[in-house]
Amino acid sequence: MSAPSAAGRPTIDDLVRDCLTDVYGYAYRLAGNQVEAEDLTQQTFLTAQQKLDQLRQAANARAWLRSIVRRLFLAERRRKAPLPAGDLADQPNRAAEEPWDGFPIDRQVLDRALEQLSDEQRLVLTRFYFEEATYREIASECEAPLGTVMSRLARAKRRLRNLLLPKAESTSHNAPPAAGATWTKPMAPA
Amino acid sequence: MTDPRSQDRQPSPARPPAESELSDVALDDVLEACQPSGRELRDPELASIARRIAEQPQLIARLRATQAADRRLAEAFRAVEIPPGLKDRVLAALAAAAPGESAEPADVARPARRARAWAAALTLTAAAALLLAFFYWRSPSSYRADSIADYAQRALENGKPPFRPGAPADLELPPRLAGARIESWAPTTFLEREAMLLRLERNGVRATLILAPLRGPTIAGRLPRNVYTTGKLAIGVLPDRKQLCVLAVEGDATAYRRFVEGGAVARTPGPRSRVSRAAARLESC
Repeated sequence: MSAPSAAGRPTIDDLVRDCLTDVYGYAYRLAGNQVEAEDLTQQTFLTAQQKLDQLRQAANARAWLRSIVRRLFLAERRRKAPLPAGDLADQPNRAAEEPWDGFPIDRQVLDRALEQLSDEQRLVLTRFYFEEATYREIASECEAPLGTVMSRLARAKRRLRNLLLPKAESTSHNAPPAAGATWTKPMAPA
Repeated sequence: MTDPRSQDRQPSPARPPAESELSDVALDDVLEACQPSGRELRDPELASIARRIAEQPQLIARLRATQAADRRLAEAFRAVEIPPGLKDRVLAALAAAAPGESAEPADVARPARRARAWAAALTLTAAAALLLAFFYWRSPSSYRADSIADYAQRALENGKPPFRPGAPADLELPPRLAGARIESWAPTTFLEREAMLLRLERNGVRATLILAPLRGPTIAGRLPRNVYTTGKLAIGVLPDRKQLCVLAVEGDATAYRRFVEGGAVARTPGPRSRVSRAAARLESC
């Protein structure tokens, strides 16, 4: 492992050591598969190596690397033929009527659910969940109106939850949630 | 009790006058768009929405439930395992692509020139390897059993192209299916390639075979080996060096195996010539 540079900036080896898990995890959630995620990770560090002088503060390394991952991911997606955008219709908020608290989130189920989302939905969800980015930060980067980003985010979240929850036989989408801090199924009419 | 979502989507006199671009956003969308920490609800632009939430216990409950679900999802999102050896691979790629560490003297000594030549050769090799890797991995899916099966199911259920009776000329079935009878065939697309759908029959069991060209010589090694069942169909990929062969058999995994194993009986081992293939077809008739 090489020593930090004279300017106190981390070296590329430092970045790999400290941020590999984060970069790969981020790339994996964006790409939705291991092969592409590995490729993105490698390209990210190669790009970082070339542009290391742009990193002003070591504390910003993680965010800087994530932004490289995002740029590479979007560039790759633009190169490819456009993929089906997925279900763009607004999703019923099924999660609002389902017990969610005790429902385990299986990793493979989450992976499969994310595979079914469009690239755009995966991107916005990864920014929200993985990066904990606010809607304002997301909107600022993609230069979209706040309301648009909110709706996009809400739609993607609903779709993801609906994919994660087991299929229900019949669900009333208009039923209000019961009082209390958990999502609970509405009571069946007597 | 009224549904806060339907209440929110209808024009409501309770909605405050447009104080920002957010005043037109559905309340449900605002609840979803805020991080579970809740700090965004303290944003002055969301003040009226925050007031509305605070006034209605059902909205508070909804917000808390959304936040609880979001916290769990965020945790699940970040729980990603690194593939073994990734760090070494990344460091190796970086080392191969690393520029020279020190500034070059004006008069470069011979050993240094040799070292530079070696470095250039290594870089070129690494670039070639990266290029190969790029073509190797450049495929529309990760070729997992379920994704192949999904594609196959879609090709079978949605395509419904006009089938032509008999078999196309110069068709080469995978060796294990050489004894199956081809009822009809149709051109189609599969995994974004020109492909062929073949309706097969063997011992009373019907199946559909999708034949598509392999994009690269190494893809075959990454194809799934297990059989994926979808209720009515059992779908698997047959080993074949020349083409991608996806077989969908009506029935379960046992029917699939029976269908495939039927072809292994009385097969001549080793490479098959055109004559032996023709003989096999005659036998099957």
